[in-house]
This record gives sequence, C-alpha cells and structure tokens, in this order.
Amino acid sequence: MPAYRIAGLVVDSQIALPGALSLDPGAPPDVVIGWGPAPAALARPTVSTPGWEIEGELMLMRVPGVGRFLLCRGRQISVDPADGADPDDCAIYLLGSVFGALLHQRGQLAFHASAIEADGRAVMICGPSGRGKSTTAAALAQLGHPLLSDDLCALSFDADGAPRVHADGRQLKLAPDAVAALDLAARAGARVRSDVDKRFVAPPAAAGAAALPLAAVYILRAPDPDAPLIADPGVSDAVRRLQRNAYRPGIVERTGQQRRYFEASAAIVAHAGVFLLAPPRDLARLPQAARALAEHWTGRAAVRKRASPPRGGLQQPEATWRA
Amino acid sequence: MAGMIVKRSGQWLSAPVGDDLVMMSADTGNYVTVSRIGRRIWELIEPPRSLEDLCAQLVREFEVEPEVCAAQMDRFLNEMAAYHAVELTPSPAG
Repeated sequence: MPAYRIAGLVVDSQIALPGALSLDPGAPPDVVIGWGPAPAALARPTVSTPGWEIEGELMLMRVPGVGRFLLCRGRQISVDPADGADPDDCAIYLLGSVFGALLHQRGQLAFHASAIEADGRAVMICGPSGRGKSTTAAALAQLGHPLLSDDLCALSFDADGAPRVHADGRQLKLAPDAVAALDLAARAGARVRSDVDKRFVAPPAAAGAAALPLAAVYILRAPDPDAPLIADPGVSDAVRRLQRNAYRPGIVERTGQQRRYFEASAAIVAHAGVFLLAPPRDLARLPQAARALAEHWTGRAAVRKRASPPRGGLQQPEATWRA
Repeated sequence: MAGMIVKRSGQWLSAPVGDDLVMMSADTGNYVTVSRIGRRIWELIEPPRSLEDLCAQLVREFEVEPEVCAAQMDRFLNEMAAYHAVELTPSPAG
C-alpha cells in the first residue's frame, strides 16, 4: 500500500494520491485510507450540514458526483465513490477538504495556506482559493526554498507555546500561466482534474519530515492596485484574518472551535510576524516579488517576537470592525 | 464622571499577544486590541468598579499623575464603550 506524509502524518492509502509524494513504506501509519462503504447519512448526527455531518467519533462528508467519505477517530477514512466517479477526483478531495476535516477530528489546527522553509523555519502564505498561495509558494521554491506544504497547513504548538508547521510532501497545483512564468514546465505533470486547467508540479525542492517553527505568515489580501506589496495589519486584523483562514471556517464554527482558533491565532501573532501580502498580479514580475518577500522576512529574522514599543500613558484600543 | 460604575459589556473572548490583549466579541465578531494598561483595566472591571476606585488603583500600580490618569482613562473607556465592550452606569449610591 503506498505511504505518504500528509500534514506531518504517515498515511497508508489504498487509493493512489497523485498530488502527494510517496514515502518509503515501513513507518507505522497514523492514518489509513481505503475504499469502503460510507452511509448516505449518519443515524443521529449532532451537527448536520448539506456537505457533512458528525456523530461522536464519526464524520461523514458528501461530495456530489465524487463520493462519500467516512472519517473515524482521525485515524481511518473510508471512501465510497459515486457511480462513475473518477478515482483521481476522490484523491483530490481526500488531500483537501477531507484531510482538513480529519485534522479537526484529531484536534489539530488546520489553515488554508501553503508554506516553504527558510533557514530551518516555516513561512506560511495564507489566502482564499485562487488568490495565489501556490503561485507565491512556487516562486519562493524557485528561489531555493524547500516546499513544506501546499494549500493545507497543519499547525501545532510546542512545549514552549511556539507554533510549528508540519511537513507535507505534496506537489504544487499551478495554472499554466504560472508554470510558464516560473519556468517550471519541465516539472509539470498531469492535470489536477479533468475539468480544471491546473497541473501538478513537482516542487524544485521539498522540505524534510520535521515540523518547523513558524517565522512569518503572509496573508494574501484582496487585489488592490494601491496596496503595497507587504503591509502590517495590526494585531486585531491579523488575528481576525488568521481565524478566517482556518481550513474551513464553517467547520470551525459549527463544531464550536472558535475559541480554540481565536486563541491559536493570537498565539501565532504573538510568536511570528503576520503581514498582508498583495496577490501576484503581473506574473512576469513574480520572481522579483518573491525576492522582495524573502528580503522582508530575512530582515525580520532577528526579531523573534513582535516587540511592543514603549508606550507612555494609556494606548487607545485598536479595533477591527466588521463591515 | 463622578459616581459612575464601569463594567464589561457583552461576551468577549480574549487572548494575550505579548503585553497586549486581543479581544473578540462573541456577539458581533468584532475585534479590539488593548495595550498593557488597557489590559489591566479590563481585568480590574470584573467585577464592576467605580471610576474613582479604578483610577485610584491605576495610580497605585502605574507611574501616573491622578489627573492625567483620570483624563486618559475617561478617553479609553469612552472608546471602549463605543465598541460596546464596556458600559458606564450611574452608581446606585452615587
């Protein structure tokens, strides 16, 4: 059975996972994935949405036209494909939404982010789908930074309360224009899905298996021609945006984990720099933007914590209001 | 402001970020971050306290003149009230 490392976990999967990099078999698996029955619904779910439901240690996910996924105790996933479903489509959901849900089941923190390694530390690129996480990570990988994860980042806190990002061996998913702009055609493989133009691209360098301390988070903001490449959002907005980049906010909310993600987001802001990043616009300038980004976190390398400036009297509160 | 009681308003989650305290309203999803002294005020108004008592406590804990403290505290609490984080009510005895 092929073995993979996904979000720091050793995964044995009966189903080939095209985007994931294979591991040497032998390590005892943390998670086992196989074809198997999954019910249309759970008997007495405590949380129920059109796409997923939870009952005790079970979680059922339904993807129309693809299949049903039954997750048990964060250790086992049964995949029940829909009639005529492409197994590779099942694999795409397994590596994305389903594994994200499994991390929730395991009580881990999951963020919608790609990450690279820089001098033994992790740099995360967060943002909603389609904003440029993989493209930015690919541009950084082209500068020699090993890819740590793509699209989904599992994060935990070490004994000192410092955040660490778990290693995830997987290929980048890139659109053809990004592949061309970054000169990655030789590393491009199969299409991600038959109806999607993105392709799997082997990263120029992949990180090792260790979880790395988080140095910085860059959150891709909405496109705005007047925005600088990098900006400091302030504490309130940094925490709010990190929470919104949970994988997935809907699951966090419906499973009563807001407090956990709020506290984790505050701890991330306390330990790592959190910045806003303008999304890649002009792909021709992508390598240049990646170099500027690398210079930004290198310049901050000596600053391990967000230093509070000395303040006289009472600093007025800084607020982020929902529109 | 004499004879006023200050208390927390609404449900807030809070977490430290260095010396600061970041707060999220469980009611509205709004966020506020307060610095070290604001964080101490937030602690001191649970349970509710009179403004005089709060100011006297801050003067004991921080190097600040009572008049300066009262003026800055006033501004801070008014802003926090605008964020629906605190409420100022007349003291029943005052």
